[in-house]
Amino acid sequence: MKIAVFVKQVEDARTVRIDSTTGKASTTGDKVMSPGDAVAVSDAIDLGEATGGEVVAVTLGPKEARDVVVDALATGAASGIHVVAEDADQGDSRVVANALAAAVRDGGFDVFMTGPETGDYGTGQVGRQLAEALGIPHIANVQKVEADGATLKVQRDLDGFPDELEVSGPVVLIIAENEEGPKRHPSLRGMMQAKRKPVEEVPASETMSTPLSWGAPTAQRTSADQIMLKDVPAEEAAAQLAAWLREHRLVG
Amino acid sequence: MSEERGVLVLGEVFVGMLSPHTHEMFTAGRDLAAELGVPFTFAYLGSEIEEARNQVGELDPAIQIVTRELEEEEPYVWQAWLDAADAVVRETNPRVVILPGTTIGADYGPRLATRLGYPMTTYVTSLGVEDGGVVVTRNILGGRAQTSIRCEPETPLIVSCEPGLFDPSPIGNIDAVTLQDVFAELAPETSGDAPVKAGPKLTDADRVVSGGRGMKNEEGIRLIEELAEALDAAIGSSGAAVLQGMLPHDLQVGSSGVVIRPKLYLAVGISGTPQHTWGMKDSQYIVAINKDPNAPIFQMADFGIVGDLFDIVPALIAELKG
Ligand SMILES: Cc1cc2nc3c(=O)[nH]c(=O)nc-3n(C[C@H](O)[C@H](O)[C@H](O)COP(=O)(O)OP(=O)(O)OC[C@H]3O[C@@H](n4cnc5c(N)ncnc54)[C@H](O)[C@@H]3O)c2cc1C
Ligand SMILES: Nc1ncnc2c1ncn2[C@@H]1O[C@H](COP(=O)(O)O)[C@@H](O)[C@H]1O
Repeated sequence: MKIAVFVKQVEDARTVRIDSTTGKASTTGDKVMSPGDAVAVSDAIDLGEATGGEVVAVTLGPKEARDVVVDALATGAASGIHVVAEDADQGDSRVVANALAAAVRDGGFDVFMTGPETGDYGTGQVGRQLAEALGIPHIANVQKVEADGATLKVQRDLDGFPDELEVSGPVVLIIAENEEGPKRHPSLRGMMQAKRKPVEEVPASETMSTPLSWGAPTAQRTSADQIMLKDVPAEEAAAQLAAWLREHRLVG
Repeated sequence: MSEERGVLVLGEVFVGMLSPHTHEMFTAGRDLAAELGVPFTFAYLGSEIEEARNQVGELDPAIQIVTRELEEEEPYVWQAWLDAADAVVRETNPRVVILPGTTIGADYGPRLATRLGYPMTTYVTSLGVEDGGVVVTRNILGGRAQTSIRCEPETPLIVSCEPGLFDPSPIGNIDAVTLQDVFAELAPETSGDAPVKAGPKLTDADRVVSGGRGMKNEEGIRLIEELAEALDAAIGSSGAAVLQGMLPHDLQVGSSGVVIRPKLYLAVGISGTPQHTWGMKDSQYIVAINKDPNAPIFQMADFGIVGDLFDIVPALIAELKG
């Protein structure tokens, strides 16, 4: 089977910092593969191996977004497609999905796999919109995929109601995030091999401008002097918290 | 009928029942239509629609009502919902479509947006109008921040709202089924062996210690109770802990529980989803203990400890008692 897996480079949500005077939120600018997409990549490579097929990693984003395609190649994908587009982050998912669809429409793919939603401005839309743009079905909340000949056995979970579906032929599978994270990761050897794997660069089929304009991120609530204890032994952390509670007259 | 493009709410019916979220969408849609000064259309789609008709009483005659019966397939597919929603939108030609922020709406909504060529925003927490354009707010970066999104006045827009954050309205003369009711019904009996100790009342306590799914077991529940006792605090709970039968529903803090603003809110093993923070974000001081350094609750905490509650809480109890 020929499988396309869609990966997005996102700001690392773990690095969000809030300016306590303005309430504005910002990140350090560190970029990573969206955590849910790493799970989709891992599952795509499993499926590729099981069916003797190949996996193509696809991203849409600026020049540096190539890094997440390389991560997927280092995990085991065979090749990549980079749809080059600036400023796609805070627009309208529909436009992103249309441009992604244009890049893969004639690629002879049997299966398209996406994450559930991205870790930055995640809208949870692109997978479904990709399917609509391609005119094919989708299955969301996918827990597990297995191939049985040309048929796919897909396990999903809808609000705690699990079921299994059988599908064949082009379909978008939206892979659920799982607590354990991806089974497969980029390996050192994979990194070396990734250098020799092809990444095709294509221009976006449409401009990313939309009728939506996004405001600056702000915090829900800010604390002027936040204290965060990490990697502090339990007794010491507890002593510091108890002292802080007393200082603020918060003990009974 | 006026030519003006209005607001359309696509309500959701399950086997003859209007979903509770539909009552929230009704509030959001009616208020937005009033603010824009445009007509309001309330549609509801689903199976056994005749049953649902009985739950929609007398409505203001200015509100247009549209219904669609769905031949729902088992197992669930998006197709039937998408086609019905598409037909209603084409028939009513709205400027703003509000569709469910539920699992079903999240599944067919984006396809509808692409099919119609409309922009869409999901997980909306408020809706308003500025300079003639619709402005929504939503959470981003995994709940760590929020932002606003503005849509140009001449462009149609599809939105879906975060469930549980809009007041449910009665539709016609039929009372809304509130999420409080749903949670109360879904919550299993809490186990008889661990009765929650009497302490200050949650809704007027100065200090609240709340436990979430991270409590995991009886041992965790006991730790929360002991900590509350040591601080002379009331006990609160997350929705997930209630659904797992760890704590009773009347202790649930959040959009379908109680909204409180104590001096101290100490959240233990709670991740900090919007439905939960709705109920406690205005507390004077917030303390969070969680083993996941990325838990959104830390973003609003004045004091946070990253660690295992089974280590931290006993040590804290010892400190407070000592
Ligand atoms: C319509 C609707 C209405 C809702 N209304 C409410 C509401 O009113 N109130 C509400 O709370 N929820 C509500 N919910 C549910 C809400 O969406 C979340 O599911 C819920 O708030 C999550 O609860 P939690 O934080 O306890 O669980 P989780 O999100 O599972 O978080 C558990 C946390 O515990 C931490 N943890 C685990 N083990 C440990 C350990 N050993 N030590 C320290 N930390 C640990 C984890 O890191 C995690 O962050 C509603 C949902 C819907 C759809
Ligand atoms: N710019 C992008 N490039 C490649 N894949 C994307 C992009 N944006 C979204 N996706 C895919 O669509 C999923 C859902 O994204 P979203 O709808 O933006 O939350 C992601 O997990 C990715 O698999």
